[in-house]
Amino acid sequence: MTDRQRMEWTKALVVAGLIFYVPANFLPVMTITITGDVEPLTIMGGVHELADSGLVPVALLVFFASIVIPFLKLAVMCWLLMLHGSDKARHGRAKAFRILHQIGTWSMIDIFLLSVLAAVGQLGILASVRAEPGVLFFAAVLLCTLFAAELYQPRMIWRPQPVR
Amino acid sequence: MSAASHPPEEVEGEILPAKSGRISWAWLFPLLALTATIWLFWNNWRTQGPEITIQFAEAPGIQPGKTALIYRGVQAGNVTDVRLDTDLDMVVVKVRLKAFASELAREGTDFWVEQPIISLREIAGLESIIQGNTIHARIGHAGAPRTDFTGLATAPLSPMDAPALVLSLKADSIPFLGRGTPVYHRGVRVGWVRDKLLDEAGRATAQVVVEQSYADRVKSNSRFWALPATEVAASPGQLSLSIPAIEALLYGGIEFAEFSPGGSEAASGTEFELFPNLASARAEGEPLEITFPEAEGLREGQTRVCYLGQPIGLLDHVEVDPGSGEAVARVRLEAPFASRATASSVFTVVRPSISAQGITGLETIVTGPYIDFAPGGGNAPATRFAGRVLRQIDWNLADEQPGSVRFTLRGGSTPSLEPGAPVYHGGIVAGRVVEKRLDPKGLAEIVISMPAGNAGAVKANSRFWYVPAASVAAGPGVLDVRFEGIAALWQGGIGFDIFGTPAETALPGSTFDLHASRRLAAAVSPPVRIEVFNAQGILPGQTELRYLGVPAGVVTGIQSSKDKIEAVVRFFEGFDFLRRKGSQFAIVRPEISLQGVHGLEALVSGVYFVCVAGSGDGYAGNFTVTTTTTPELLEDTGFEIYLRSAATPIGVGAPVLYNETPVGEITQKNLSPDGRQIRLTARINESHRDLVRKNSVFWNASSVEARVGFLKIQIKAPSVVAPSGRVSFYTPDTGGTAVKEGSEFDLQDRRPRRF
Repeated sequence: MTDRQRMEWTKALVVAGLIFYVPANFLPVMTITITGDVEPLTIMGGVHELADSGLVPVALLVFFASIVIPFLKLAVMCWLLMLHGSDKARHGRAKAFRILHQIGTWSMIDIFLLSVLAAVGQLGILASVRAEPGVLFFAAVLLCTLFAAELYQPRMIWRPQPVR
Repeated sequence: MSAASHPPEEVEGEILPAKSGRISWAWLFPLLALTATIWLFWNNWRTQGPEITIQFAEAPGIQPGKTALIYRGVQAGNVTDVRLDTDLDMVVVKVRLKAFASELAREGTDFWVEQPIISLREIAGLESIIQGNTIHARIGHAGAPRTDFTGLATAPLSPMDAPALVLSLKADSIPFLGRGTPVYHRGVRVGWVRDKLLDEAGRATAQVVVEQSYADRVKSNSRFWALPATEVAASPGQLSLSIPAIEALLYGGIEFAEFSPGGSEAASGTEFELFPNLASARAEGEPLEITFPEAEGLREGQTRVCYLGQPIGLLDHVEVDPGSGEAVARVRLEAPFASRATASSVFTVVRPSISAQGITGLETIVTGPYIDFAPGGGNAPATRFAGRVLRQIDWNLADEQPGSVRFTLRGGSTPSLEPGAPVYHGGIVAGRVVEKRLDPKGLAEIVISMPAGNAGAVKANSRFWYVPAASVAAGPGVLDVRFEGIAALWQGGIGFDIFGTPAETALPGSTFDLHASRRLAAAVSPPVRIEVFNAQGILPGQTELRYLGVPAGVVTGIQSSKDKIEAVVRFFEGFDFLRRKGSQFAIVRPEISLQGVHGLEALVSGVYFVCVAGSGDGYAGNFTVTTTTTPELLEDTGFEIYLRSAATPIGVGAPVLYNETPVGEITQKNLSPDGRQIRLTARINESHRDLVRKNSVFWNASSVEARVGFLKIQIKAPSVVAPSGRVSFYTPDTGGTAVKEGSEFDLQDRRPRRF
């Protein structure tokens, strides 16, 4: 795969991730039913719920892991792609990309947790957890950022001129 | 991309269009993402129907974003917003309908909050316990589109379709009806009570819903009545208990039917009267007012109006007019008969009556009195009538045959003898009472009338008596209930007969005494007075005198003067000899003691006198009762001796025993002439007189001795052994001489040691 192709793929994935990011945050990702109380939750709704139940640290954790970090990843990728070929902040970009790449290892943790929850949390009419379409979009965002980060090579930061 | 191949490509530099055309496949991804997102939002928008606003008085458990709107069990929308209106008196709920349910946003749709109801009558909304409360909808007749609604306060009873026909039933009181009470038509359940409330006028109103498919069964002339949970109907020969349905046991019920032809289909909102029962519902006529002299036995809502024996109406109301002192009854008749209540109609209260003419109204013994309706002629309907009450004995003076002979009877009291009461002779109704009046002296007089043919039976010495409704004669082993015919059973009558030789025929218009009973009438002898010590249990007219067990006379009265009580006695025909001088009379009272049981029959028949005929010449007017009750002692006068004691519990009537065998009786207990001792008079049977000798020893044997080992226990309780104690005596074999009548002996307190 040529560097240009990598560039193209990375760009396309980042754009797709940005698009997916919108429904991922607006659609409910899961529905929790506890003794008849039906609660469709978006990611932000879940954060609210956790904060309301007094679990502020967990809420913060989810907020960062599920909303801030995917968004930051997309933002950082955009920043890398925009500055591609220029010689500005090359050290900073390389550092940012390394961090991004490492965080990316953990990014599917939400999906994993939700699938475990949906599988285990089936207590008949008393309580149930169901995954909603939102989670597909959320997974799509994560996958886009993952692949984008994987396709983009750190050496491309150091290329003298942009690929045309 | 090698650096070596770069320059030639740059030199060529003509591939640009191809390069721009060769967009990377990677861009399919954003396109896909965009399409999916757009499709998602578009789909979301597409499945959304209009947003409607529902106002509830309260909305428990309704939460925005969570609570669903359910229609026919399907989620048809979601609550998007819940808030209070500006006045804080309503909850405003916004619901986003789904596109397929947008038809719900039409006029006539009902919305209510479904919540669990568990009561005796219904269990509903159980799923709400699990799923939380939801808003339910029920579509009405498709009306104009509309987005603002007011929710129902309670869940309707027919959650699927809106009711086609809602009626108001009004009644004075509907205690047992409630939400869900079924409405029947010919036994088929066609609807139910939706609500019960009070209208502006304060009348109880039941809102009734009739199902669509049966709505055309309700006519404008339908009559509604309440079905009781159970009904017990009694009629002669039949007792029936009916339970319309198990369901009705819990709910009661309402039924309707038409009783007259015609009538158009009833429209929704029509008001009907709810009648308490079928009979009341059937009586469709205008209320008629009937005035009765009395209203005994008339019961509101139950007493029927009958024509030819069939019920055609019902007594609605009865009250006593304080001014006129009459009972005013309000009745309604069934439609076909209402028009026949004209001015000449007659209403009669019929009660059970048994008379010589027959038995009438027997069925009313079970069903209670009814009002008989006799339609009048003419066409002018009337609403006010004067009713009459059928008398027990409907006997008219006009029934008296010409040539009848009248007699007057005079008596102290004549209970329940009414004109028409029969006069019996030998079991045959020989005449009738025609009049009951007071003579100038204030005594009750009864005038009887007899057909000429029967009047000959009344002789100058005939005796008349009052025949009670029923009489009971009891003797030892005999209990005899008798009554003179079924007419007498009801009201009594008068009997007459001749005791002794018949005299000549009585003159018409003669006056006779009316005796209280046949027994008194039969006692024809001149009165005899018997002095008694104790008149307990002696009843004039009841207490008999018996001679050898045969009734010989009756006590006609008891007179008490300052120091004595006398029973006035008359004897029956043929027992005059008991009035001879020397006759003896004793009172027999029941007595139970260890010595035996005496006068047991007196327990049933009461105290009676025992008579012993005297042998003296001529008749006496006064006697004194003797105290012994042993008949042999009465006849066999025995011989009397006296027993002296300082103090003794022995009383009159105590037996005198020889070797535990009764040979005599204590007949009197007096103070000795000097007043220091008690003197008992013992009468010893004549045949045992030789047992008493000069050296005889008498002792009080009342106490009971019991030996327990070497201890001897003496129980001094005479009442345990005999009411008046016992006297024993012993005569040694030798050394005694015969005693004369009237000898005196000492009475030892206890049994002498020597025996």
